[in-house]
Amino acid sequence: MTAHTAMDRVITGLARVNGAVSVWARNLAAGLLMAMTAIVLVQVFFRYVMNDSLGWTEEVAKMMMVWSAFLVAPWAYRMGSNVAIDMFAAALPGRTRLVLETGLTLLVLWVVAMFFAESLAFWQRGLAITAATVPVRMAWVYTVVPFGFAALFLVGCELLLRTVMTLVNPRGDYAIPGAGVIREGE
Amino acid sequence: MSLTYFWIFIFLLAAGMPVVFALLVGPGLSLVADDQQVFFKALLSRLYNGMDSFPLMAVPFFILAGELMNSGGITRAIVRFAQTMIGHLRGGLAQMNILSSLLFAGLSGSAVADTSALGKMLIPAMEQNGYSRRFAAAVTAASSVIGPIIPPSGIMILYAFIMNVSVAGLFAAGLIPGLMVSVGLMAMTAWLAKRRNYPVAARKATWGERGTAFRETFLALLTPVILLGGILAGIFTPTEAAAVAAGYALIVSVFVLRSLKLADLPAVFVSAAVQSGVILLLVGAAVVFAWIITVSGMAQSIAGGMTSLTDNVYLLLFLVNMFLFIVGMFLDAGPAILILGPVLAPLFIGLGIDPLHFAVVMCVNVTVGLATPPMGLVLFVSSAVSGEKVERIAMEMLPFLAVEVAVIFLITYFPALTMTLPRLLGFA
Repeated sequence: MTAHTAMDRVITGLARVNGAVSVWARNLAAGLLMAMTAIVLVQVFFRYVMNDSLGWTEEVAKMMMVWSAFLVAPWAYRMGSNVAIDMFAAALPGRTRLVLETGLTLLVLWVVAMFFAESLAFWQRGLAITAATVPVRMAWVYTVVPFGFAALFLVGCELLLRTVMTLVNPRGDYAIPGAGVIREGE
Repeated sequence: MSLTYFWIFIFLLAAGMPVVFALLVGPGLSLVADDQQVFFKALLSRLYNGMDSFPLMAVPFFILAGELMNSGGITRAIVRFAQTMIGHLRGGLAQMNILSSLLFAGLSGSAVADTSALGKMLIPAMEQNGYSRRFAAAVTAASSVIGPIIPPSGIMILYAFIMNVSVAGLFAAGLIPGLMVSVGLMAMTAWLAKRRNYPVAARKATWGERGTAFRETFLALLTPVILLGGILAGIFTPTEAAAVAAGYALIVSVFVLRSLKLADLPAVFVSAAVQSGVILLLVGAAVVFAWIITVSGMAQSIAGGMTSLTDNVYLLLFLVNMFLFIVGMFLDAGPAILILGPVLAPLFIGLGIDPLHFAVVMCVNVTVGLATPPMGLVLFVSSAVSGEKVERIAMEMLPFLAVEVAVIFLITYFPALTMTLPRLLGFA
C-alpha cells in the first residue's frame, strides 16, 4: 500500500465519521429550533391568554439556542457555509493558495484545540451550578461545548488532509461533494 | 494588551479564513504572544455567554419565518398583488420587482432571501418581456437591499444586541429610510424605463382584480402589522414577536394557503437552523472580539486617531460612511456590524450623535454593501439565480447604487428622517 492510498483511506474514514456526525448534529439543531419556537409560543400563550407567566421557558429556549449553534458548527465548517472573504486567496496561483489554506487550517485546528481544552474545565465548573429555573446541572447543558469543539477539530483534520493531498496529488479530487456552493436561501 | 491581534485578524480575514475563526484566532495568538494564556478561560465564557441571550433569539425566529414565507407560496401571492397595482406602468415588471421587495421586506429581514425568492420568479419573467438579463438581475439585487432596512431586520437585531440599543426603536428608525430607498429605486427605474423604452407588461388591472389579489396576500401582509404593531406597542418583545411570526407563517403556508406540505417542513427547519447557527456562533465570537477591543483600548485609539484628523462631526460622518462603504465591499453586513459597531459607535455617540441615528446609518450602509462588488452576497445569489456574470450585474447596478448612496447621505445629514418616528413612539 502506497502512502497515497493509506492517506486516502484515512480521509475516507474521517469523511465517514464527520459526514455522519455533522449531519446528525445539524438535524438535531433543526429539531431544537422547532422546540424553541414551540416553547416561546407557549410562553406567549401563557402570558397573554392565561395571564400566567411561565418561569422556565426563556432559560430552556436559550439553552436550546446555544446547543443549536454548536451543533451546526461542524456541518457549516465542513460544507464551507461560514462567511469568509475568499477573493484574495482565489486570485493566488493554485499551489500558493493551497499552502496558504494549509496554514489557515492549522491555525483553526490550534484555536479549536485550545478552546476544547478550556471547555473541559468549563464543563467541570458546570457540575457545581444548577440551572436557575429547571433542576438540571449546568454541566449537562455545557456538554455541547466540548462536543462542538471536538467535532470541529475532526472536521479541521479532514479538511487539512484534503488540502495537503491536493498539494501532493493535484490530479486527485479531494473536494467534499456539495461544499462551498451558495445554497439558495442562505 | 497590544494591538497585534487586530493586524493578525485583518491578515487572516484577507487570507480567507472564515470570519468566525479569525475572530478567535487573532485574539488567541495575541494572548499567547503576550504569555497570557490564562485569559482563554475568559474568552470561552464570553463566547458562550455571548450567545446565551433571549433578545438574540429573535434572529433564528425571523430566519425561520422568512424561510417559511419563502417556500410557502407567499412570495407568489405578493408578486401577483404588486403586478395588479403597478404592472401596467412602463417598465412595470421592474417596478413590480421593487414593490415586491418592499412588501417582502415587512415579512423577512434578509436581503439574500429576498433575492433568491423574487429573483427566481421575476428574472425569467422580465427576460421574456424584453428586458436584458443583467438589468433584471441588477434590479432584483438592488431592491433586495430594502429587506434588512425595513423592519423586521436581522442586521438591526444584531446591532441592537451588540450595542445595547432598543430593537423596537431601531425598527421604527429604519422604516422611513427603507421607504426612501424604495421610492428612489422606483424613480430611477421609471427614468431608465423611459430612456431605454422598456415594455409595458400588462394592461391596467381592474379594481376587482386588485381586490382579489389583495385578498390572496392579505394574510401575508398582515404579518408586518402583527409584528411591528406588537413590538412598537410594547405588547410583545421582539423575540416573542419573531416566534409568533414564525408560528403564523407556518399555519398560513401549511394550513391556509396549503402551499407547503408537512413533509417539506424538515428541510425548512434544517435550512433555518444552519443559517441561524452560523450567525449565532459568529455573534459569540464577535462578543469575544468586542471584549478584546475594550480591554486593549482599541476603540479609544481609533477614536483618538479619527478625531485627530478633524473634530468636525459632519466630516467624520462622511469619513465613516466612506469607510463603511469600502468595508461593505469586502465584508458581509452581519460581521461588519458585529466587529465595527463596538469600535465606531462610542466615538460618534461621544460626539453627540444619537445612538439610534448612528445605528441606522451604519445598518443601512453595510446593508447596501451586500450588493457592492467584489464581495456582495446578494450579487452572488442574483448571479446564481439568473446565470448572469457578477461583473455585468454590478455594472448595470451603478445607477441604483447611486440612489442608495444618496439615501445613506440624506439620512446621515438629516437626522429627522430616522429619528422622527422613534421620537413619536417614545424610543428616543
